Amino acid sequence: MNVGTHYQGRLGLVVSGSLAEGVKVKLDSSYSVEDVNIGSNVVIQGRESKFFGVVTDIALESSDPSLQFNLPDVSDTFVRDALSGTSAYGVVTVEPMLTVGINSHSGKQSPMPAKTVPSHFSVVSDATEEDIYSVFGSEADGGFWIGSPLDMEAKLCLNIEELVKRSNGVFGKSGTGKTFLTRLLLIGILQSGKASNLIFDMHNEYGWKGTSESNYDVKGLKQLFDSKVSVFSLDADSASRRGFSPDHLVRFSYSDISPEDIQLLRETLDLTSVSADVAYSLEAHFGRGNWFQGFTKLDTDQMNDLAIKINVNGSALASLKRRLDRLTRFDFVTENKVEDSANMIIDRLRSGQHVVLEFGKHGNNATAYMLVANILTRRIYDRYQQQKETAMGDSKMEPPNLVITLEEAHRFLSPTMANQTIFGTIAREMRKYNVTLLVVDQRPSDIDEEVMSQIGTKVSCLLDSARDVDSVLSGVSGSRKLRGVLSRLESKQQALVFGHAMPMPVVIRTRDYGTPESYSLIGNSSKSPSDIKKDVDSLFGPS
Amino acid sequence: MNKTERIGEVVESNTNEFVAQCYDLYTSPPIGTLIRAGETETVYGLVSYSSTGGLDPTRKPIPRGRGFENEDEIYRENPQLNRLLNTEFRAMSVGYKTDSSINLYMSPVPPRIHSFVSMCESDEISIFVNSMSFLDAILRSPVPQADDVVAGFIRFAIDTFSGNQNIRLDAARILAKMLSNDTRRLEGIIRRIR
Repeated sequence: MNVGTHYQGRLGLVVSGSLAEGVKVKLDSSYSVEDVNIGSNVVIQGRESKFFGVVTDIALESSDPSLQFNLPDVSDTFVRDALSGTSAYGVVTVEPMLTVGINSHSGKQSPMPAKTVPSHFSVVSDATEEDIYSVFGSEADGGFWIGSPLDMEAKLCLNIEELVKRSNGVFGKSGTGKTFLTRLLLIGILQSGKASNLIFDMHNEYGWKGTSESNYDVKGLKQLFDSKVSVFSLDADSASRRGFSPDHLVRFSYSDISPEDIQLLRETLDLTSVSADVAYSLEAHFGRGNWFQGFTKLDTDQMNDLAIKINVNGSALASLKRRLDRLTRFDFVTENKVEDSANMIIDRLRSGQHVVLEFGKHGNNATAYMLVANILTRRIYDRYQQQKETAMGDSKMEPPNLVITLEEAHRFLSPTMANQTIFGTIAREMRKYNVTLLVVDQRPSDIDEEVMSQIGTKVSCLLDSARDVDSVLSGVSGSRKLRGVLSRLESKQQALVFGHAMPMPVVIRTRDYGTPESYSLIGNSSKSPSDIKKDVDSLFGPS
Repeated sequence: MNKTERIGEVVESNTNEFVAQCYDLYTSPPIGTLIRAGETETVYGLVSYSSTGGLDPTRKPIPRGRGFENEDEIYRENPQLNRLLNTEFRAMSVGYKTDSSINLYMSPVPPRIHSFVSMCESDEISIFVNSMSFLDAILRSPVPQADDVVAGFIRFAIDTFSGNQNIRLDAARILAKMLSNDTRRLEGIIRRIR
């Protein structure tokens, strides 16, 4: 008797559907609808090729329309057993994402975007670990293990080489694990050696150590990869309070500040656009590099003279002066020329080091964060552009890939800012100069649409707001169905990953980070059991 | 009753069904029983109807029990009744035997008149139990008692295989598929096989 036979992992058969809406799969009577989860991966064996898909909807249906009005006696388990799976059954909608077949160009077996649907009555089964590896690659192929698909233990890998070629984004509302995911991605990039990282560490979470939601300390990059990571800090006191000393203290001089920085700070300094534009007139008047010092030293009379001389509104000039005085109060901005921190950071990055820039107490000050990030990035942009141009003549001079990690990215990439700040330029075109962004944000809808459309790989944790969901999914095929997946993610350790470095969108359970075992897998792999024991002791106290 | 015992002979026959007369009065198999007719060209049927009456249609039976203690006494005192009355049953054609196998659909040729009718062997029954697809034809036939015939067959199958309960659930699920748009009818049959 063929009814009730349950092949291992078999869900059911394709019964209808379309490429636009996804195919409908009637569940086998032996497969309970409660065992299927939205977002899980399935394999459909078509007549000629194998399809790889994602469950995007689950429904209950019945072959007898009157069943819902004339209820059978369901208190009788025999009646219930006879009806469930036969007259009343489950239907799942599967979005076919990829076909795994022979690629006509390369002649190799590789996954390609699905351009058709599997034929009627194709068998649908749960994806196995081998299926996952054949689609996403494995650690042996050089992928970085980022997590596991839902309901599976397979290691889902991310192609870091593809990842660093484009700007990427990590999104999710507060407390959903953005920082943990970002830390993992950074480690992946660091381990692969495909790019250098520059991390603007607003809340001091990446360099030495961070904290988890349940308030235990987790190691930062410096602790795991001491020799490869340099920690720069704006605030030595904060670092020493946290029990370590940074490799270098960052200082800027007045001459490092440019009118562009003032444009970026317009909102946080509460400047009108007229006042902000005055900075350009000042630069023309005092000369490049001298304008900030020259301007902030002026007294009231000199200001009035200057206003007439450069033909600007006196009150605009005065308001600019008052706001710029705030910048002079930052302890990392000094009047005199100091050693060039920006250059030091750039040199470290070019030698393959990874740099974490901690903000210490300034992390809560948006003005400080934006000023420093902008000054540094502008310098990096110039250097990379020059170097890339040199490399056009001599390919040995090719600058290494650089990934700039930017938290609270919407401050730099909002629609009003994106055209003016250096970050907008990087997001749009710096790929050509080997510089990409890793944008970390909780309000993706505040980021300029054009910038969002340039983001290659997106990692999204739970998002509630419809606007945020829309903006993250804009331009993705099948976004309507992914919405359902995205808004049903668990609030912790789950994320939807899609875009350039992933052959298809996939929901992952983020791999563990913060346990001694995870460190031994991530960090220097040569750790002995006694070292692990030491780690355990430092985490939980000696046993 | 011995399973392979001969119980009667075909007296009326067409491709849809055949009528058999029992050798002994009141020995018709219950509705839903699988029987076979013919020694060489065997046709299988499901008993769908049975009746007992006078052999001569012009002579109606009359009451004879006044003064007797019980019904059996009537038959003991009137031995001619066993000759004057007879039991017939109707069977719907559900399969036939070829040289190599048993086909589970209507025989293209009806059984001959006077074909011997007997009960089936258990291996024959198990072939019908393993694929109940032939029940679909019975459910769709215009016979008013089709549901009882189907339920009767399932009870017969369960009895034959000494109460194998899997047969009950599997059969119910197969019926659920056949009657997927008529749950009330399905429930009716399920009630009969509980």
